[in-house]
Amino acid sequence: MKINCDQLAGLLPEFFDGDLSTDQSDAAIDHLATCVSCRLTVDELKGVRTLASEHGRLELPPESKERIRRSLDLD
Amino acid sequence: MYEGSMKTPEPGWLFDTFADGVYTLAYRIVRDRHLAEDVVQETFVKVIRSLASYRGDGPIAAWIYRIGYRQAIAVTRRRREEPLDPIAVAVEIDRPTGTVEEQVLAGELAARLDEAIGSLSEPVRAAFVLRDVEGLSTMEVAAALEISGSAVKMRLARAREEMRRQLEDYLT
Repeated sequence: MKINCDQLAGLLPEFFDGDLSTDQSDAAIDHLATCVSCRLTVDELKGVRTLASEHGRLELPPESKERIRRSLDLD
Repeated sequence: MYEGSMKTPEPGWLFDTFADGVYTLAYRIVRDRHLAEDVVQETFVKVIRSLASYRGDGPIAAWIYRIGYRQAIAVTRRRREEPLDPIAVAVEIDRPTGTVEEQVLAGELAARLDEAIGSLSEPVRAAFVLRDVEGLSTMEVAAALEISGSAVKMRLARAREEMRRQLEDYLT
């Protein structure tokens, strides 16, 4: 099974979720091995996910957390 | 992560486990620190009130985020015509640690990330935050947003491509 750049783009959501079939996964890896442009795209999309998971999360300020905990009668 | 089908989880544990996640989702939707805190409070009032009727027939994370998301959307609709509070936004986006240089870079990155996430349409943004920031599975995101798994994947593809375009300088 061989795929082109457009077909790889269509598989990317499943690619990142690890939901590709073995055949699809092998085809994606074969394509990435020979296509610099798609490899760059995939690397950058991986970078987006890394930035999001490492820097996108916020923490409720401790004083607010305590205030809400008290208001919910959780102490 | 709690997977359901066990005994009813303890409210304090639920709050400690999910408060930051609900706050992250709420802030990314309403883009105001104080309103996001209100969303957290209202969400857990509803979670605790409904806990006895929670049947454990799905991931509890999706159930809690669904309540939080509905609450955040309700707040957004109420204040759609009101301007954002830029001070609240600026204060909230990051609390960097490390050397001064690292703090400046981390602060700049947090601001760019905040801006990029904020530029996504609200439905796309919610899917991105739950999947790529909070780390829920695609099916949990679908349950939280009450949409299909394929709709989640379409929104994620759109979000990641837009984020890639906007954060290009940080990805090379």
